[in-house]
Amino acid sequence: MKTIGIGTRIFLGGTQGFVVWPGTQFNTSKPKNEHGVPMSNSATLAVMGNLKEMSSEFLQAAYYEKYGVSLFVGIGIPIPVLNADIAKCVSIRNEQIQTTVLDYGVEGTPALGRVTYAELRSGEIEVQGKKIRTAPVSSLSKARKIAEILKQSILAGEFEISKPVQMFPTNTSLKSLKEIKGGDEK
Amino acid sequence: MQKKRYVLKFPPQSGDQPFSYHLVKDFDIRINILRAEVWPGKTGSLVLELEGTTTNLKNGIAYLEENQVSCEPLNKKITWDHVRCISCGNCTAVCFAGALQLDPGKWELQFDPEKCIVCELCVPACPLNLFKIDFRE
Repeated sequence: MKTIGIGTRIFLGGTQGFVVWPGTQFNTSKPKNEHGVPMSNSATLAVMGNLKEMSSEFLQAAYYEKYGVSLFVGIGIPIPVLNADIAKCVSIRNEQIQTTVLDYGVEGTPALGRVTYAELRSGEIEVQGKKIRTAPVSSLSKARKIAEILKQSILAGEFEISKPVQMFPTNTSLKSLKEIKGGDEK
Repeated sequence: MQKKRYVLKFPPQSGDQPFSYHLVKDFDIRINILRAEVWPGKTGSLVLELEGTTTNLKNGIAYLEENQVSCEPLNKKITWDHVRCISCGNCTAVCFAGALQLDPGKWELQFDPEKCIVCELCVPACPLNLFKIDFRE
């Protein structure tokens, strides 16, 4: 939120793209922990790039069993460390990032508990006294590759870090539509 | 002593023959059943870990083949398209045998065919559909 906004140049699917708008369900009023990290889904981004310049190494069609189609998109966003405050933000460790465990088997997906990224990465978490296996759904090895490519192209002067044209609003929340089950016979 | 994993296929009419008993009794092979599918009147399949001396294993396999049971080493049955794999790690959640794991340094997917028991859970779990397992005919 401090360096990323509309117009930020990014690595997108193997080429250069841009942040163009807040993403779907962009929400900045979710509760944050003592390190300032949101504890559930929060700010999201809408990005744009030229598909014809992208590579299947960083853009692949995916299908999740019992969920549906998805897309694996390789994204890298440079964060310029301009002051001590930003330096503190980029040094947040996995132990300091929390997220919420949701039960997708129940309507309304109720929360079952909170875990840290460090716990998730260990391969096992404890939820309500039970030990549960964990696995990632995004690729850390690809993320590191993208970070390295981005670093090299910045150093080579091929990728220019841009200042956003407009920062994102910081006080937004969602007004979701109420689901109405229609179709009943009178 | 040697330990090897095989996929055995039985002809439909062989359901009443105690092949695994003979492997133990006649060939002194220690067997561990990793997976079994036996249906009356259909081709049955069995994933076995066989442990024994080289000679005994060879003779045991020959005995099975004489009785129209096909034996193929397990590792020939599994293919994984590692070029397209992005190491997302989704498959590691369902691999209870521990054959699919992310190496903790580079976070790249490692596949150990020796541990695989051909449970096939990784096939639908992979969002990129990169696992091909030829277990049934």
